[in-house]
Amino acid sequence: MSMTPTPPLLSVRDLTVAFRVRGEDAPVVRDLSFDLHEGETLGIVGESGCGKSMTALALMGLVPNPPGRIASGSIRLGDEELVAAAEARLRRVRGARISMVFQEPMTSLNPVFTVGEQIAETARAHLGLSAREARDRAVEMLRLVGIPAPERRVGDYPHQLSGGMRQRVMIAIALVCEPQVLIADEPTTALDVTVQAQIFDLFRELQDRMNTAVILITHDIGVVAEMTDRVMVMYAGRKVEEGPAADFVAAPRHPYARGLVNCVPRLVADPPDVPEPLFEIPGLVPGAEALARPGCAFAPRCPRAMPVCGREFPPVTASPGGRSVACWLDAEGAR
Amino acid sequence: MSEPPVMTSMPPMPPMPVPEPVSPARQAWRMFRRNGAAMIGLALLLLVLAEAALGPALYSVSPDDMVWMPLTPPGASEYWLGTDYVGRDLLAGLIHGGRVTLIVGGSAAALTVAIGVLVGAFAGYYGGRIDNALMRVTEFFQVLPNLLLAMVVVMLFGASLVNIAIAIGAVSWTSTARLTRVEFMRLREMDYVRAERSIGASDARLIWAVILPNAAPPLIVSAALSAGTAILFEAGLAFLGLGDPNAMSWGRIIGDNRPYVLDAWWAVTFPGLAIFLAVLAISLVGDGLNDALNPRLRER
Repeated sequence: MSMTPTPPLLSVRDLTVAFRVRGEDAPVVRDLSFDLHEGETLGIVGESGCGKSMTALALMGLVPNPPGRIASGSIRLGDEELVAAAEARLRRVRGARISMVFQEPMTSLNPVFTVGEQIAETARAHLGLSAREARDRAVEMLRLVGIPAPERRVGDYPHQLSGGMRQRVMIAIALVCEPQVLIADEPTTALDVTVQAQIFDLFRELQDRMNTAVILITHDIGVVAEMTDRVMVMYAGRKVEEGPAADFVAAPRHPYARGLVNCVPRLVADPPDVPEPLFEIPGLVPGAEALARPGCAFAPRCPRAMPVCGREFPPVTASPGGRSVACWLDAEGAR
Repeated sequence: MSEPPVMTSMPPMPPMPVPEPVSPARQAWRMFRRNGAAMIGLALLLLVLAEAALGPALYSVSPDDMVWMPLTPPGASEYWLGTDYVGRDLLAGLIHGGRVTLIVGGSAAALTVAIGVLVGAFAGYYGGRIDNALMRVTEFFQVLPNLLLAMVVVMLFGASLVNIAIAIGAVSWTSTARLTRVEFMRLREMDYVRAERSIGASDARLIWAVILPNAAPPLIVSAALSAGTAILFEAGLAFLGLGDPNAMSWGRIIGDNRPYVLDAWWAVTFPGLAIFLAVLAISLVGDGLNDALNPRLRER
């Protein structure tokens, strides 16, 4: 599945986000590069603390500063550089060209304004609509995200809506300006499974309609398989594997990615009498202070670690079909 | 009828009542209405406000003219509440003084809230050095004795109503600033503030249109209570002889008649009662607002 030769919509190169911890810079995202094309869905997968959410915030220009900052690298949206762009410029990008849906729909809406006002406000700020037009637009967006009786719901306050409805409202706010890129940071973790399915259906439908590129941050391999075109696995702030979602789920390459995929229980037609215990990756995600060490950060937990893994970060090995992996096992094999 | 009764179809369920959207303000009013003391306070407050607004037009006796024998007791003349030490109509003084007292108290409270919210919002939102600097200024004002500072301001710049209001506002904004700051520090970390930032909201919008409305409930209560304090403050200044000599106020009536307390109880008692009732009304309303706007109490 080769990508179209058109230039990518969003292009991230060597992005490093550093946090100052006890006087030292800890790189929470390190030398990250990836592309995102129009209409594409990119999954970013990894455990808590691997730098997924920080990557998202960096794209929005919202890395909490202090203690964090974008230490180096480039983020290009179309032909515009976002790293080091003026705050006023970034404000016009946020919400209009890139927007974000957060993890917590229960607390991400302002409790003192109606949902209609909140959608309309974004439309007014970025699209310069009149109050009347913005209200109509809010109703239209609520209808689009599948909220019944939008004419009435537009006057509701967030506490009157369920979690799933609130997440729909968040999506409506994120999409009201028809952004080119939508970042969804674990948009369904706070919701129950049936609502999760509805929300993902909604994402797909809206993506088809608006041709929005989506970055879906998740730790759920099932969601990756179902929703994304391409996957990027992150570990300790680095990209360790990237590839088309179907290939990735079928045959992950990096030992960490294999671990992630194998952690998911599978239904088998003919189960053995003694079920195999569910796979788990030993150990814990390294803390921020471990990030600056040389070598592959996964080595201490890796079942196939070699001496070289502790010394030097492996080179990225690309293979046909748009796959790439950063692991000494593959580097050795390629030689 | 062969069917056992349990099998008969249930009566159709009444349609689920769709709750009308309830704005936070309306919800608060519902809570407030159920609070008896607060409603009495509100009635009293409306009465005081109506008196201050309409009284002078309805009762045409001037509070500054000598109309009868000095220190006439209540009921002894056509001036029901009697006269003060120079023979001015006490009722006229109360009616006109109410307006002055409320205007000074109200504008001092408004100033208190304006300065307090401004300082507190910037300190709480930006944190760091800005917070540090603003809080040191706040502490500076906090350690000064309020009444003394207000007296100095009035003595230096003259005892006009405007200066008195400014003096009161300038010394009482610190607690509002601290309250606002804490609310902003709490609220700026909320998810919805982050979400608003992610759709391109500016700092100004986040401060005034996102965080401030959410910080409003405790600030409204504090504003109400500071209006009460400001009225007492004004009365205190006037009592000490620092009231505007051209405007009759409740505090000034008490201050003027202070030497004659033992001979003419009425001249100090009635304005004292008026101050008491006005401040009581404001306190009751403030207390009711506190209950109505407190989210923890609202759940019930």
